Amino acid sequence: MKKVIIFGYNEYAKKIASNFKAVHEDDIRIYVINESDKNEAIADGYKSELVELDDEWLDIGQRYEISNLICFCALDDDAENVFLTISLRAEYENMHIVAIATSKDSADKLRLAGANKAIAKLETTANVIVESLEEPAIVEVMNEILSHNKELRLAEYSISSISVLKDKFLHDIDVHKEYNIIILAVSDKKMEADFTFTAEGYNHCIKEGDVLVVIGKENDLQRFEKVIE
Amino acid sequence: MAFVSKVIIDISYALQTSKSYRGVKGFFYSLLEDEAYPYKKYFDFVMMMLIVSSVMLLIRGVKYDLPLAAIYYNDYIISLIFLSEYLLRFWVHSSISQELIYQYEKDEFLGYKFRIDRAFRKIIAHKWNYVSSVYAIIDLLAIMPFFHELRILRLFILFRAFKIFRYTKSLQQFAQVLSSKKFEFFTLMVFASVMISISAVLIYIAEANNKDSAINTLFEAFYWSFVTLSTVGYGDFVPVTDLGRTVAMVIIISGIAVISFMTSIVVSAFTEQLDSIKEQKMVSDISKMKRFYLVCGYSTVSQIVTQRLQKDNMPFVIIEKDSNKLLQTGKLKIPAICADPAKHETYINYGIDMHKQVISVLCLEESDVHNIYTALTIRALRSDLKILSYLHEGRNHKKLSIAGVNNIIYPQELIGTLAREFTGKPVAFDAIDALRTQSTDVVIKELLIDERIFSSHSNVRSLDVHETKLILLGIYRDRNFLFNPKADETLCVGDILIIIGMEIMVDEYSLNLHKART
Repeated sequence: MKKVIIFGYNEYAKKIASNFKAVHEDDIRIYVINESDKNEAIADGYKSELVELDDEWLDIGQRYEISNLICFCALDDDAENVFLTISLRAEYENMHIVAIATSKDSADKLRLAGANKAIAKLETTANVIVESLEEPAIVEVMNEILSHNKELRLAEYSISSISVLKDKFLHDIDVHKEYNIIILAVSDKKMEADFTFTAEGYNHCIKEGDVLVVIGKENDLQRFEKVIE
Repeated sequence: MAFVSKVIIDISYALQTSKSYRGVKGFFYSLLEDEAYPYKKYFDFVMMMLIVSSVMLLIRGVKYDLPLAAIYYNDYIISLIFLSEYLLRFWVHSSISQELIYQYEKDEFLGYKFRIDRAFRKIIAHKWNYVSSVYAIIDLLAIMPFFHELRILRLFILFRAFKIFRYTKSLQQFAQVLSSKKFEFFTLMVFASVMISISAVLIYIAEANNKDSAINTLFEAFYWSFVTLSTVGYGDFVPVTDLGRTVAMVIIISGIAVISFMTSIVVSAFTEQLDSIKEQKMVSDISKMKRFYLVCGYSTVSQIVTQRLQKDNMPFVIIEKDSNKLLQTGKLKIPAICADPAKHETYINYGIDMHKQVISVLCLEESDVHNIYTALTIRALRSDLKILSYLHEGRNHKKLSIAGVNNIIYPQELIGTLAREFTGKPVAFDAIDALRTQSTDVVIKELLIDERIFSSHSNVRSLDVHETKLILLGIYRDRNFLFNPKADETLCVGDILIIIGMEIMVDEYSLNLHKART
């Protein structure tokens, strides 16, 4: 189970924390830069620590296994978030950093600073607003897929050396009929953005180590997981 | 007399209750007077072309003989069209039957005998208002060439040029702006007239008896004064005496003052009226828009949302009460109104038809308090309009729901969900993100099953989706999502297919579905 650390305790950080609370309660730690945020985080039931931005962050490496850690930079100020991201990246090359930015410009800076993923609050929200005007059904469907409480969900499966799908072409697989799931995309390197949508990569040959992104209902996904592993 | 009154009232009621009479009158009223009427611009254009052709014929006729057909066209056809227009405007200006009925019912209510004379006095007063208006006088003068036997009346064709004012909004606005400075212009004219009169008399006294001077009559003295004061100074009349030259120096200085004053009046009139002109233009532009999204508040999110809407060619109108925030919209040429979106008057004043024009409303103001207030205003105006609102603080979610908001966007929730997806499934997150932001060639699109598609495709099998290298994610039906439908699933009109695929292929697939099966 991956460990989660969150920097900052604003409304966004609270939502991120609450999303992980159900499954990772013991694995979440909130790092804050002022006393009131620390008290609030502790009152909400999280482990929290007061830190300085110019810290060297050595204790994180001592406390966690970096390859098994996800770090969220959700400080209020974009400049502080960039500084934090660049400091963490300087110390830990393999750390997975997700940063929250106000705008697309700040998100670009965070990516340059070393964030694996930077989510621009304004653009993401605006996109959802426009989508719900232009294509409301798609927004509903996306919400259904992304929501934790619904039957339908997204899943990722890594192809092992003994998987039945190994060395098969995407166009040869008929999983939507057989297992009632849809393969959305395939990636050959986990945690990297390089992936191919099934819709454009029909000729992709599935290899060991590939990651399949699939959509399906819980029971069907479990059935499929057993087969490919 | 009582019998005549009764007949008149009977006719008035018959006209007022006649659908065809009201329809015809309403049509002509819209065509002639209603700026929002879509066909008015075509009528105005035709009238302007008639005016231009008429004036061109007049100019041609100065030195050359016109063919008989052109004279006939200019003197009769155009004049008759203008006469008809004049009479129609006279007719639609006020309603005689309505005035008669009003007076009759008022007298009945008060227990008086029907005072028909009083009704006619009011009718004449209303009609006289029209007849004595500047536009109506110009219209009447423009008809005069019809009586072409009176050669002098041919010159009245020139009045047709003035009619252009009626059909050109910018010229109307120009006249309106200048008329707002009537007092200043009047003061200036009085000053200029006094200066011209005094200097003309002085120059006449100084120059008239000097045989070397060209100024010999009072008219020449006035002409010289006018030309000098206007700073034109042709030089055909020149003072030769010391007194005359002194007068010339004074009047030249006065002339500069008059011209400067006049320029400043015109400039200040336009500066003062600029906002009003822009507002009028905006009202006119909005009234011409058939359907649009109403964006209440020009916050940072609104700016990005409207940029996207503009990029996707989706019509919208912004309402924001802070004029400073709207400054940017002028540069971007975005339709925006500076008014409070939470007030009923805003929608009335700007002629926004909530039922016909507004597709849905986006409450994107800076606080939940304002969004709730605006949502309630909109809900009171139209109960079934779709309202989407930005939620700033999670604790206000329920309040927005109670205010009637259909779709609440809470960014913190959104970012929290996305962050969770990234943690467990980074590739899936990127894939979903790429679909959402359309950053690759692969897109997720809606495809509506309409009557046309349904007539040749009754079930999922007949759609042949998998043959086209597209992914049918599911069917959205009655607010429910049917994931990965079976081949024998029956389709219904109104179903929305959620398709994933290369954009070009999805578009082509959509075209093929619409093409009737042979």
